Amino acid sequence: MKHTFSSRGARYFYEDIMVANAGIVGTASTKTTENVEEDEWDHIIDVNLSGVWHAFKYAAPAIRRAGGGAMTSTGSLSSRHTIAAWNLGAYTASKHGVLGLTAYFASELESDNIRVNCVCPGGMATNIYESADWPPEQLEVFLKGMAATKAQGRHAIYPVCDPREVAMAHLFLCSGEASFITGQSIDADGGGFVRVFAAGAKMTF
Amino acid sequence: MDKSSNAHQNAAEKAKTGATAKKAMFRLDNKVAIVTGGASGLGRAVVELFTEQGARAIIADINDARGAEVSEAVNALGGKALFIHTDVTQADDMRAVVQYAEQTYGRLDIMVANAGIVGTASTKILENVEEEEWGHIIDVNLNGVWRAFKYAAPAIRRAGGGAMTSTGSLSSRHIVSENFLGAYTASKFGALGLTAYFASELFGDDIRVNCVNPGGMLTNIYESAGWSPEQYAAWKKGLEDTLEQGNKAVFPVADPREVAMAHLFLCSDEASFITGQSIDADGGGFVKMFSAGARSVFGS
Repeated sequence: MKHTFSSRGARYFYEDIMVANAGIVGTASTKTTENVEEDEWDHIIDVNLSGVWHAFKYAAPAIRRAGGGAMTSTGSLSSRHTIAAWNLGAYTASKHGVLGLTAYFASELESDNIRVNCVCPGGMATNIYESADWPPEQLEVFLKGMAATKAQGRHAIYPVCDPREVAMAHLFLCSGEASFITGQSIDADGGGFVRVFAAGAKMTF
Repeated sequence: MDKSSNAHQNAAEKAKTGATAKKAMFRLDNKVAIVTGGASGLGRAVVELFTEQGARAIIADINDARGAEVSEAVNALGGKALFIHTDVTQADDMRAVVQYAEQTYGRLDIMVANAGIVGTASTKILENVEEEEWGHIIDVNLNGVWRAFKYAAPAIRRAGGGAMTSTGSLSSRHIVSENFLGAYTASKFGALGLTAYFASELFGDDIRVNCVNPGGMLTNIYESAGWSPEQYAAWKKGLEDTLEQGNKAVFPVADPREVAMAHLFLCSDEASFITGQSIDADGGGFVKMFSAGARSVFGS
């Protein structure tokens, strides 16, 4: 990260925006949390949480030199909720961490005119589960399921969107339009969290 | 850039891309929006911003003089805004303004339930608030949002979907104490819960419903407190001074336009996957104020 920045800084002179988006589910997401191995745990925390810290840490001085700007991170519905249907213990820990880190960074950078916010996607058709190292057949089934749900549009209980719909939230938060918004997060889940919870409530009551 | 070169560029652009390109130029092109409390404060900023972005706005407000002034100002700039006298505490008024939108423009796409007051309830502690003071603030801030959404939803459904937003407050989630905002806080917590619940009922109709929570903002909301002119002037001067300090202020104050931007985002197609949510637009004020308190308690 450090190297990337010093070299880019020399080439472009200034930076305005950092989107700390890189994330994985990792092989930690194939087992219950007590069975996750040390290196699996470290890897997902390193990418999802420390990766955001690195991105913001090294971008902040460059954005400060540019006179201010904006940074966003990609959180998740798992930044605030525990979705117990999958093996997302390490992922949930990392994404909760991202949200807290992002809000805290915002508090430290307010007077530098650097706004820092988080986008929390819900269902989204991406390749993130490649990092789970599933057998190809399992990944294919998963991707097919996502595509089928995406095709249902807003009628799915847990809607799946095209990444562009979530990218719009990053765009808004990184643009001057969000000039008074910092330390916040936006859930872009198509109402999925409430609908899944409501489905559970209907089953229970 | 002067007007003639702008027009020239527009003409060149048209020639290059075809006349229909103008259709997608602004983010709310062809949309019809009702803004309650649209004659002043944040509502006025929403009306101005939405019409700049191509929307036809209906200003629903109780203040006729200001409503006329805003619609004239917008129309003078080439925007489209109409004023309809609307009291959000009156079901008949809300029904009528929605009907007016459909009769005039054939559709309604957006409802911004923004009208709000602090009222005379905000000059005293909760146990001293009178029944009618309590009733009034709840009727405007909470019931007013319910009526706006209730009467707009069928029309937006007929239009094939759209978006609704409410104006909450930092007081939708937090207790900002020692400022006599008990009734206000109850009304704004309520508005947030109501907005999220409405969203869950309208998922299947392609109507997104979200809330914008402003922090410090320079508006005329305290006119409703019934203060003396001197007290109001002192309050307003304080806000103006804080606005000047920008983000150096512990509790920064926004120009309403900065908060209106969040309404624009949530009402535009850019927020297509966002419903049942709220955005705090407070310039980090809540955290800064809490941190100032923490430093005074724990030392720094």
